[in-house]
Amino acid sequence: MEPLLRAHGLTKRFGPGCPACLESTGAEAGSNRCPHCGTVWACRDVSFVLHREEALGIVGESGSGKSTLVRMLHFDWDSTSGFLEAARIPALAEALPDLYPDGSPWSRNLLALDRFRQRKARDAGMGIVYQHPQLGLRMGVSSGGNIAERLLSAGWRSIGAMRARSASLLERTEIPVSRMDEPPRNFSGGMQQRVQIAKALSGDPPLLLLDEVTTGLDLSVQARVLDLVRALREELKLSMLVVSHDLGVINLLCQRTMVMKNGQVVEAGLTDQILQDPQHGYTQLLVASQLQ
Amino acid sequence: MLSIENLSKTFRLHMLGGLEVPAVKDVSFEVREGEFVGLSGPSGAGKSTVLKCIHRTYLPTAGAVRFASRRLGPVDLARLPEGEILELRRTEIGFVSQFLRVIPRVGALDLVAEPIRHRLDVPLDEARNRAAALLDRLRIPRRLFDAYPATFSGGEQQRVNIARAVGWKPSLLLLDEPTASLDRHSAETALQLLSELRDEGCTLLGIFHDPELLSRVADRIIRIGGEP
Repeated sequence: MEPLLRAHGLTKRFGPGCPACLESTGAEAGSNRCPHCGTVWACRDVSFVLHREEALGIVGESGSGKSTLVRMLHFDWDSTSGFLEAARIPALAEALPDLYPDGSPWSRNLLALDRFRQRKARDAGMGIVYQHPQLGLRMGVSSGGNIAERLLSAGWRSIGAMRARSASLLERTEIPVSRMDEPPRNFSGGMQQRVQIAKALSGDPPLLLLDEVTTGLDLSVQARVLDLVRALREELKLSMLVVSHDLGVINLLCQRTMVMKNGQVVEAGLTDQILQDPQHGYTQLLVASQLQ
Repeated sequence: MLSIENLSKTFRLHMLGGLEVPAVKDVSFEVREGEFVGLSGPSGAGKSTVLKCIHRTYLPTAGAVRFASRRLGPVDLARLPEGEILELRRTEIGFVSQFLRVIPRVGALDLVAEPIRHRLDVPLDEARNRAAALLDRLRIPRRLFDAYPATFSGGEQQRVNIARAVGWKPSLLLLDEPTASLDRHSAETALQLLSELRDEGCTLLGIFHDPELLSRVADRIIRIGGEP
């Protein structure tokens, strides 16, 4: 398997930090908040490699740091420290010609790029679907307009071409094209997720970040969204990072899984191994808590 | 092709105060290429644990699982990085259990055709034809081909499961009681399919609930000890 993305030591801290932080926070300490200085370590020293066409799952309870991780990867939030490097991808090399040092198969640290370059890297390299559609969409703007906005930012200029692209994306994600001029706030929860997916895929990114995309949806609606994600992954050869607290979703989509607790990765492995032979006490609790 | 050396697996249950449950201890045996080997032993002896350690669904606690891979050369499956395990599962090592792992909302025919199509790089129509031939042999009625196997009977699910496992002709197939809820006739058809797979060069290592059936098809039977 060829690697696509590698992360090393990703850390997000809220607060000044103190010498006692390291031993007072994390999975062993049972909290991500330091009792001495009040600093919250939302995500601490997370490292992983994501391969091409692979789906990597991230599970953990709320507050475990999994959404923080995704927000750092998507440059929504600045990271306190860490490295994030992308393998040489034509779309990224084209958008940012100086991203790859001479002949290197790996990019410079994406987390150290300025805002402007991070946005270009994001437009060319990834799409995201959030649990809450209002984070990913402007609910009062037409669905087609939401997608066109993303295309504009990626350098598209022809209105006709943007409209055609939006229509084909919405059609692919099973939104009737006749409703593309309606704003997402008119839509049901499942449709809103599908508009988000259409928008996330607009730049043809190799990587899709899914942050609890089916949480809170009715079962049948959830099934339809998952079917769509599975079909798109195969069709577009996507790599995916799938954040979910639902082991069923992870089991369906992901070959490998990381388990997070209190900001740290406590266990990583093949998904079937995580589910059938969990090593860490927390993972054992998680698996034992699953409804059959 | 496969050499198990002093394999041990102990489960550590954190919720029970770190209770250690030994499942297998110091198991060693070899399987040669093209053999059909059966594992036998009393219930609880750890037969299934051994298979899952080879497939790496379980992490072995100690010992080695040496495998002569066509793509990667000699490897120790107990320690191989996950990416390479996934690659071997995609290209060389199959696993079939008692339970069909259905993919929600995928029909029986497509469930069987999927690995044929992707792992052998065969066009969809051809993959479906091969899948249909397998399901016919296992006497799954054609009217069920597009139905979701989640709604099938236990025996039908097992037959779909076997078709899915043999269709892509892995070079090593691990079988964990795949015929447990089949009637005699279906079990015999299933074993016939497995023998044919062996004749085509596939190596098989499996547990079967029926010792008599096992002794008829297996080249050799390895006993996994009484008390672990």
